[in-house]
Amino acid sequence: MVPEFWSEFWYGLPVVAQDALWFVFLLLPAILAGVAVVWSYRPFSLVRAMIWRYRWTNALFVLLIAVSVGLGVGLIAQERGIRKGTARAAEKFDLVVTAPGSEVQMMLATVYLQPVDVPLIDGATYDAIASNENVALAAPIAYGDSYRESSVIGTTAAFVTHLSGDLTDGRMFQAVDEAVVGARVPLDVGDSFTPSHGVGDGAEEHAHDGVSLRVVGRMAPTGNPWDKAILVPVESVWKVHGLPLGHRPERDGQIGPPFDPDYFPGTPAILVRADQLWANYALRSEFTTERTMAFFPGAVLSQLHGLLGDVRQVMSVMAVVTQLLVAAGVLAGLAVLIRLYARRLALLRALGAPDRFVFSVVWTYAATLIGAGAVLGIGVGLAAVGIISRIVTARTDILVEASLGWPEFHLVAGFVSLTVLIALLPAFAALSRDVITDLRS
Amino acid sequence: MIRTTSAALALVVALAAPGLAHDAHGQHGDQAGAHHEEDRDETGHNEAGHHDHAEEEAHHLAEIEGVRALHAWTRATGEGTALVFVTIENKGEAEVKLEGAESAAAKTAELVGFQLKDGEPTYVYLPFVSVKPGRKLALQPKGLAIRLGGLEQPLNKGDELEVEFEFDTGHLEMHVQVEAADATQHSHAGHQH
Repeated sequence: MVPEFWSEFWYGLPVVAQDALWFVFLLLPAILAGVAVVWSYRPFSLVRAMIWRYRWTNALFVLLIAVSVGLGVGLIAQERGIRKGTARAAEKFDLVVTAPGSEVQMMLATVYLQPVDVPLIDGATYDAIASNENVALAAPIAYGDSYRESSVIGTTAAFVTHLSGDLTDGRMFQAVDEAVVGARVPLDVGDSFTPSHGVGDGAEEHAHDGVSLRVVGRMAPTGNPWDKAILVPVESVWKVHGLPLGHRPERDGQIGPPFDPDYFPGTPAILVRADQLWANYALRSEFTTERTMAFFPGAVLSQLHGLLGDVRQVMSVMAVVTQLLVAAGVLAGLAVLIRLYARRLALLRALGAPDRFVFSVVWTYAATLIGAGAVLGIGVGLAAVGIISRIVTARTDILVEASLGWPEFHLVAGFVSLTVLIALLPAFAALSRDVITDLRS
Repeated sequence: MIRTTSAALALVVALAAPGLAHDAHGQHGDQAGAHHEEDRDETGHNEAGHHDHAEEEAHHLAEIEGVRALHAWTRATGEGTALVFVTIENKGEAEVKLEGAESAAAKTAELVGFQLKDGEPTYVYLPFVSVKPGRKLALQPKGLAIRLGGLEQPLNKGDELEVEFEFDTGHLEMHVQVEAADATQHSHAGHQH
């Protein structure tokens, strides 16, 4: 059992301090070993000469360590990058209200734009949500149509602003036949298009023939699949489907809220946002009824991440096991490399160099290669994650950023400590070799 | 659980398991819960209809001025912090605010809400949450909770602790059932006997 004062101290520390201490703790064996081995000797110039003597062999050895360390580092960093990317994509979606069903399916449809056929929320329900005193924004998210690769989503101007802030180009839609496109939609301001009914291969291309929507603005990049979406007034979606336009006949032509419940044809999802943080939780309870389901996409995503947590552990174990194998490989490699120097080391000892000096030379040589490989490995890992992240981003439209975090540095620190300790073995082995035999070789 | 696994692994591989050790503190305060089912514990309970267990029923129910708290539970832990979940029903005429809690078993008790921050699950402090008349408020995994900090003793499955829920209208004291470390809902312990 951990003493209480320790756990209080530990959990009282900022997370960064905890991480930094872990790093130091993991690197400590390497540092202590280094100090103990090199104490009172200066083996460095000799080690430099040794490395230079067989520089290509040593460079290859360093490269092998770098690639292996890079794989471990890349594995951990990539997993975190994807987890963070998917979470960031859902950040703007505080609370989503839909018809009762599967939270995961509704989240995929609403946040990641993987539309499904779902029952609609009616006007009275929408009105109750929109007029709740704690609701700052209640935006219909009406999906189902598409144009080529892009989903066409009916919503309100307030949602567009909430999603991406100010437009980078053009202006907000102000009429039923106007549209604002996501940052990565291949349409320019001024272009016109006809939406298809449905999404993907099943889309009916000519279902909405005769309808022409004009692009009037472009959103700033959001880092989520909405960058590929086309946003139109929700009235536009209702109009192309021949439904009422959400407003009393005398207010025909109005775009955006308030909507009249009697003329509200329905929406598959509503994004709800409260100004007060606590209110989101209260609203979730309030809107969880027989007719509606309210969920936090962040919480659903976290559940998915939780399920994937097992995979994450497997990946972490794989990264560690890989490093152990590499450490074993390093040991074997060092044993071979040190044979290259057997004659020189024997000469050193014949000249009367103390055993401890020879030991420190061999160990410092090994530690230098390992250290260089580890540092280079971090670079290799970062480069690998950069490339993979770019591919994932291009394929999923979810911005995945490559970054290095503490877990990678912990892994590398642990690896360095373990391998430099293992490197003590070939250093001992070098001492046990027979001087005369090695001199004759 | 992740922490135990990682600690064991860390030992086995000497010092080469930092990724795991990190994960453990990354998920601090939240057991990667699988599935939460909002109303099931209540409906399930009613369907069960064990009238013989009225005493036990009372054990899991507390009421003050129209505010009812039902089925308070938490998870077994040895880590010094725990999340307490409960269903609050406002059967009164006025809006009430749940402002927090206190417990003799813990140094601190506060109202928190789940958030996914930068891909990491966390619980953030909330000053209060309102419950309108006739409405329910569910404190449940991946949502609202009372976070107990500085627990005096490890919580084991089957234990009970006393927690006083603080409303703006008064305090409500009730038993909190300790469920398994990976539980997702109250187990109606009394009904299984």
